[in-house]
Amino acid sequence: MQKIKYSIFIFVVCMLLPVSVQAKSNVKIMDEADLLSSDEYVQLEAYLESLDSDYNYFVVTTDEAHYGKSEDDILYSYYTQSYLSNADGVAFLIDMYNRELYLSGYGKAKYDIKSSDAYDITDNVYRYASNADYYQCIYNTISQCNTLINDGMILRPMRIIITALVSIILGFLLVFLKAVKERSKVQTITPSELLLVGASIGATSTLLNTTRRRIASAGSVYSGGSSGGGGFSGGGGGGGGHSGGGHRFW
Amino acid sequence: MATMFPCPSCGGQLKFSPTNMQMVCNSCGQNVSPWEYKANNIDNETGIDTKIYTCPNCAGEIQLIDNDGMEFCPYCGTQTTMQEHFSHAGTPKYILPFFLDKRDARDKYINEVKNIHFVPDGLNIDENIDKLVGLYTPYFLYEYSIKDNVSFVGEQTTESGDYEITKESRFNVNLDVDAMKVPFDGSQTFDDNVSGAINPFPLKELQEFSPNFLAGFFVENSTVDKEIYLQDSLDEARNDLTEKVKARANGYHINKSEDSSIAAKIEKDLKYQGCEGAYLPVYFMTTRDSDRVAYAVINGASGTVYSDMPIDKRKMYGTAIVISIAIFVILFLSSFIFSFSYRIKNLCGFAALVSSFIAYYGATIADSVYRRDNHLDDKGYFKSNDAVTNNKVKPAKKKVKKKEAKTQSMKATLSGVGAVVLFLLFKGYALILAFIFYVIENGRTILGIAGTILMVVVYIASFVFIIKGFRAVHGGRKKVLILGSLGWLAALIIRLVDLPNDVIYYSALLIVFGIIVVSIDSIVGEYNRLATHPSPQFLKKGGKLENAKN
Repeated sequence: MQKIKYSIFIFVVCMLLPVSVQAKSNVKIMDEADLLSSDEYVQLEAYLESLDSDYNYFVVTTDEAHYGKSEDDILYSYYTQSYLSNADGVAFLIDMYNRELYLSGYGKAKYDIKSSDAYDITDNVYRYASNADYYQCIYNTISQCNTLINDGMILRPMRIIITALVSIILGFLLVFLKAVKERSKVQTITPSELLLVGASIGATSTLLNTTRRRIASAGSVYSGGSSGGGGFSGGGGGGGGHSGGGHRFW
Repeated sequence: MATMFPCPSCGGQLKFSPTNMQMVCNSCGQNVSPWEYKANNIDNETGIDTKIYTCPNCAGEIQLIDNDGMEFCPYCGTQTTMQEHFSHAGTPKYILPFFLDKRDARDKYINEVKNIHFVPDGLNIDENIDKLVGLYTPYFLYEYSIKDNVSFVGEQTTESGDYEITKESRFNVNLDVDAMKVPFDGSQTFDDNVSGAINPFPLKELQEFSPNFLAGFFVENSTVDKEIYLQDSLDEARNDLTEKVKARANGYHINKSEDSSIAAKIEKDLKYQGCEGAYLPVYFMTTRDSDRVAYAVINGASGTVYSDMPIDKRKMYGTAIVISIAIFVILFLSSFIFSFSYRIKNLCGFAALVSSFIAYYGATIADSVYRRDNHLDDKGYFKSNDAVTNNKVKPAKKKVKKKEAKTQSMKATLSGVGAVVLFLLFKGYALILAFIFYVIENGRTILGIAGTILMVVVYIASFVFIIKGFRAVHGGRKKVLILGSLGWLAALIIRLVDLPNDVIYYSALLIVFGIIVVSIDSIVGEYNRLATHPSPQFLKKGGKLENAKN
C-alpha cells in the first residue's frame, strides 16, 4: 500500500512540474542585440535544428563594445562559452557595435568553411544586414554554410568580379611588357670595337702582403628560429584551430 | 648612260659583290679584283665624281656612284623622283667593304625579328624588306697613341679551410699603343643610338679607300664637324684602355679609388693623333607610318641588326584577352586550391601600384620620345659643336656612364624604406612581388601585421613610382603620366574613404580599372612613338668627310 501511495505521489508531482521544451544541444542562438522577433527566433531555431546534427550551429548578436578584441576574438569567446574550442561547429556573429558580420568554422568545419569561404559568404549576405533584415542574413549565412558542409557549391560573384579585374590588368600589362622586352633585343646599344695598331700591353705584379683571418665554420654559427601557429587560418588573433572571415555593413 | 665602272672585257657595268669580294660584270659575269681595277678617271686627289640625289620631301641627300637612280628616299621613305645633280665630293681615307650581300642582310633581319610578336602588317613582308638599300655611311676614326706605365694595387680574397686569406699585390702595366682608332658616326641621318645598336664594325678589315668598293652601292655624305665627337672619343679610348689595364690584374679586386687613378693617368697620357674619315657599310630600310618612319639598319659587315618595331595594338589586345582568360582560370582555381580570397581593400593597393607603375613607365618612355624626336642624344644631327652647346645636347649614353649614373642614384636613396622600394623598382619585379604579397596577405597564411606591413610597402612603392614619374617625364608628353596618376589617386581615395557598401566600392574600383586599361592603351601608343622616328628634315650641304683628312 505504501508503495502504491509513493508511486501516486511521484506521478502527481511529475504531472505538476512545468513542461519546458529544450532546443537540441547543437543549436544555440544568443540574440543579445535583440535583432530577431520571437517568431523569427523560433523559425531560425527550427531551421538550425533541421540541419546536420554532427555540427554545432551557433549564432550570436551583440551591441556591446569589446575593446581591444577583434571580431574573431569576440566570436571565439562566445563559442567557447558553450562548446569546446575544437568542437565541430559553425559560428556566426552580428556585431552591431562595430557594424560587422563574422563567420567562423571550428573543428572539422574549418575545413568545410575555410576563411576564404567565410569571406565569400559574408560578401553574399551583408546586404541583408544593411537592410536590417537580420533573420534573412543569418538564415542565408547558415544555409550557405550547410551547402558547403554537404560538399555543395555557393555563388561567389565578388570573387569572380575581382579575379576578372585583376586578370585583365595583369594580362594586358604582361603582354605589353613582353612585347617591349622582345623589341629591346634589336635595339640594344653595344660598345663600338676600337682598333689597336702596334699595341703591346704587358704586366708584372708584386705581392705586397698576405693576411689570414680565421672565420667561423658553418656549424658554429646558427640563427635560431621557431615554428608554430599551425592550423590557424582565421583572421586576426584569438584561439587556434578555426577559420573565419567577415564583412562590414552599414 | 655610260657606266663609271666599265667591264674590261665587254664594257658592261661592274658592281662590287660582297659574296666573293670581287667586282662582277652585270653583262658577261667576269670577276675583277677591286684592289687592281682602275676606273675611268672618276677619282683624283681632290675627290670623286658622283651624282647627288636630293629628296624633295626631306632634303636628305644620297650619293650614287654608278646606279640607275632612286625611286624612293631611304631617309623618309617617300616614293618620289629624287632631284639629281653632279658633284665632286671628297673621299675618306678608309673604307670597310660590304661582307654581306642583300640576301644575307635580309636573312639576318628576318632571323632577328621573326620571334617578335605583334608586328604591324606590312613591316615584315617581302616587298618591304626588298627595299633594303646598301649604303656606305660616313664615320670618323679618332686616333690616339699612348706610351705609359700604370701602377695600381689590387686585392684578392680566398677561403682555405677555416681561414680567409687576403692577398694584396701591386701591378705594373706597360702600355705601348702606336695607334688606337675610335669610331664615331659622322652622319647626320644616323641617330647615335641607332649607330650604337649596330656596333661593332670589324675595323681590322678596313681598307685604303678605293671607289671600286662603292660600285653598286649608295653613299651618304657627311655634313658633321669632326670636332663634335672629340671629347667622346677621348672618353671611349680612356675607358677601353682602363678596362684593358684592369684585366691584367687577373681577378684581383680593384677599388674605386684605384680605378679612378688608373683612368686619370691614362687620360692624361693619351695623345690625340688626328682624325681620319671612313665609309662603313650598312643596309638601310625605311617604312612610313603616317607622319613617322620606322628604320631597320643592318651592319653590312657583321650583320648586327637594329630595328624600329612598333606594336600592332589590335594583335596585342587579341593576345592579351587570351592571356587574361588564362590568368583568370589560374587565379580562380588557385583561390580554391590554396583557399585565398581577394579583399576589396587590398585591391585598392593593387590598383594603386599598377597605376603608379604605368605612370612611371609611361613617363620614362615619353621622355625618351622627347629626347629622340629632338635629337638630344644625337650630337651628329646638330653638325657642329656650337649647335650642340646651344641645344644642350648631352653625349650619347655609353655603357660605362650608365653604370656610374646608376651607382650615384643608388647612393642617393639607399636609406630606410627607400632602399626596399628602390630594390623593387630597379629590379623591375615590383608588380610580381606585390601581387605575391597580396595573395599571401589574403590567403591569411601569415599574421595580419605582416600583411599590413606588406601593403604599406606597396603603397610606398606606388608613391615612389609617382614621384619618379614626375621627375622622369621632363619635356615628354604627359598623357600616360596623368592617366596613371589619376588611377593611383582614385585608388588611394577609395581606400581612405573606406566604403562599406560593396556596390559603391566596386563601381569606384571599376572606374579605376577602366582608367588603368586606358592608361595601358596610351602607354602602347607612346611606345609606338618611341619605336618610330619623326619624318626627317635635313638641310644638308655635303662634303665634310674629306675635312677629316690630316
